[in-house]
Amino acid sequence: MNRREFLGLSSAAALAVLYPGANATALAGLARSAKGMLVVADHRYSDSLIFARALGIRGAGIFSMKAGLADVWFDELAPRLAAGGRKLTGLTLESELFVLERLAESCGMRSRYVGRHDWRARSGSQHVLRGSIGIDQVAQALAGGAELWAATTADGLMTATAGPSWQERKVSVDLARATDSPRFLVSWMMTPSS
Amino acid sequence: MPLPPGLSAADFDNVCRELRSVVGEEWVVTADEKVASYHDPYFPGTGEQHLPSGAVLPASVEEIRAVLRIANRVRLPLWSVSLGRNYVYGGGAPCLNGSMVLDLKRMQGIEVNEQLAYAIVEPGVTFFQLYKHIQDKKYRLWISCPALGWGSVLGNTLERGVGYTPHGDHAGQQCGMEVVLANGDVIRTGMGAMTDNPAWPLYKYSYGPSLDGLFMQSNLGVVTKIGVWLMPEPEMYSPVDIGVDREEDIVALIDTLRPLRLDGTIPATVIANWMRIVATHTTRAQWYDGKDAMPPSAIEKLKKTMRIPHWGLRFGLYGPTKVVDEKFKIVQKAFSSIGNAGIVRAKYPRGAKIAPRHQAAAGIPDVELMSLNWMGGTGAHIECPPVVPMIGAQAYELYRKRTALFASHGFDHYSGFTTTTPRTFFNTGSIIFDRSDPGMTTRARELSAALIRDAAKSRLGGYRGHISEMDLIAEQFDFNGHAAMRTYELLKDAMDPEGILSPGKQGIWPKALRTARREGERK
Repeated sequence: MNRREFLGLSSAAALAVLYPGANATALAGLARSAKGMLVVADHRYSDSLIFARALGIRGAGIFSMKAGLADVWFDELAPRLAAGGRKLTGLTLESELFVLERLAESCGMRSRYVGRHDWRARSGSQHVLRGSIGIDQVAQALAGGAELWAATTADGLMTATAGPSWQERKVSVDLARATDSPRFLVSWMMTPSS
Repeated sequence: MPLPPGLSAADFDNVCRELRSVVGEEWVVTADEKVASYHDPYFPGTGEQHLPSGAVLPASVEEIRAVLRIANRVRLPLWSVSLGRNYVYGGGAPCLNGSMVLDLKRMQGIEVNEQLAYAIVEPGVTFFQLYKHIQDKKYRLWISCPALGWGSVLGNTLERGVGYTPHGDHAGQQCGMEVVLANGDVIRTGMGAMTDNPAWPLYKYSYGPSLDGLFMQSNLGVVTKIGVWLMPEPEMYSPVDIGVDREEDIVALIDTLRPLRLDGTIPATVIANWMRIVATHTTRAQWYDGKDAMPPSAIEKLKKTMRIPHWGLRFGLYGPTKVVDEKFKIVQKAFSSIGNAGIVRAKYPRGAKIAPRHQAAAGIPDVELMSLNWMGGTGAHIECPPVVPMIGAQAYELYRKRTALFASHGFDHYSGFTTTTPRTFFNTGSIIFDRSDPGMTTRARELSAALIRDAAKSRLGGYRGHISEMDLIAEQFDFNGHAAMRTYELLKDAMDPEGILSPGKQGIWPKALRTARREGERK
């Protein structure tokens, strides 16, 4: 399945693609499993939309940055994060993570995972994942995703358990860059600091 | 985290206990994860030299005075920040390793007077907050804000930051201050030296010498309030974009602009080169794979494909509609004399929704940092903009020299000429680098130092600088054997004898540290 096809699926169908073989009960559970999570989406890049969609079909709230990062922060994210207990995630440009990390500090949030996805070399791609969560689970999900790596990475983040300390993994897998994608994106997740 | 110089771990624990009794348990920060917020996020390979020992967050003038009493007694160096978002210059990180950050963000008082168009703000008030306050109250006032609106109004103003409206010279719009001195005394400057004088935020000067300048880019006091003048909302706001295609056209562009700046036709202005324009829309890797600076052929291809000029001049015209229209006719006639100049104008009558690309010159804050993505990786930038007279040939010569220096270090030249005062520019030259690449980070640092030294050869000095370069920049101001620095040191020794306030800021060190540093240099 390619990116465009995935984005065109209904929520149920998209879940079925990510979880082939899951029965209806399991799918219904999965459809609620990310409720309360906030996902930022950059409308310019299909991989960012796919990442968000993969969580949106699990009940996460998707927030587009089309109106500008300031608007989405002050109008949508900050009020929700101020209430506490949420996770904030996205697949975006690095500058957007930089800004959101600093804004989200005021709501007591800290980055627990950052994945750097790099296509700047003349061929292939390099992925460096760091976090205080189950990095191996995320790495495995990323590596197995092929064209839908953004969706499987999002899924991997959902299932990764908390880890005791920051770890790093380099993932060697040649993932095709989307034609609309810049050559460097970051996947990330923030949680309330303990 | 490093300890403050001269304090043992036990001493530091005791000091923190005392500070907690002043500001409350949760407002003295020593846990590594939380102190990390004060690190320089862009550190150009100097991060280990500028680490705080912790942070203390007072909520009032009285708490600040109590903190200073403790700091004076034990000689605890304090590094004042309003919010610490001055990232390109070091963020919340201190010059002196081990300083405790004095974080004033809890002080968030705002007072706005619509009739006389001013605000009085405390350090923790951001441009976003001031903007929202004015919008919520439906005041017909505009603020001026820098490219990123998340910083402190007070902090940015004290650093002589700039915006893009006619009030873009933020230090020029400052009127009146309240300052806590190192000895705990509290002063108000200007007419504020008289209790309840209503002209405090209205009249910039004093009876007697003006003190305000002593506390700008300074470590002579802790500023707790400033007055800032606001702009009445204009009947018409008309942003104008003028583009020229050749590098050498900058001469004619500046020489045409100058009389229109001097006679007030055109207010604050930015001239951006191709990279500064394009970095807000794309990344380098889309256009060029080489490790060296982009060659002219790649730049021309990029310009043609993205349909951008080599230089873009942008400014706003403001005021009654008829006046704005007449000003535009003057502008159009003047710049049409430059053969290939393209002139585009938009018009926003009062109340109209302003397009995102025109919001900066309307004082609408934002947080877009797209240019950080230029090199990919973990984007960072550093710069020391020199102050440049508004003369076309001089600016072009400087630009060519700096382009060569950028190229010799493997960087593309991000350049802009920003004018908020009518006779000069700040020549912004952001070195954008990937700080996860140690080699590139080293080159960025080397380039930055080279640019500072090269500007000084042309007798040009920086207007602001990174904490790791403040000494180097200060050294360039050499008139009469560095007489200005001798004067700053006289004041520093008199006003802060224990040397507790932001040691090293702008190259001004307290006596004890000065002597030790000079001895270290001699060795």
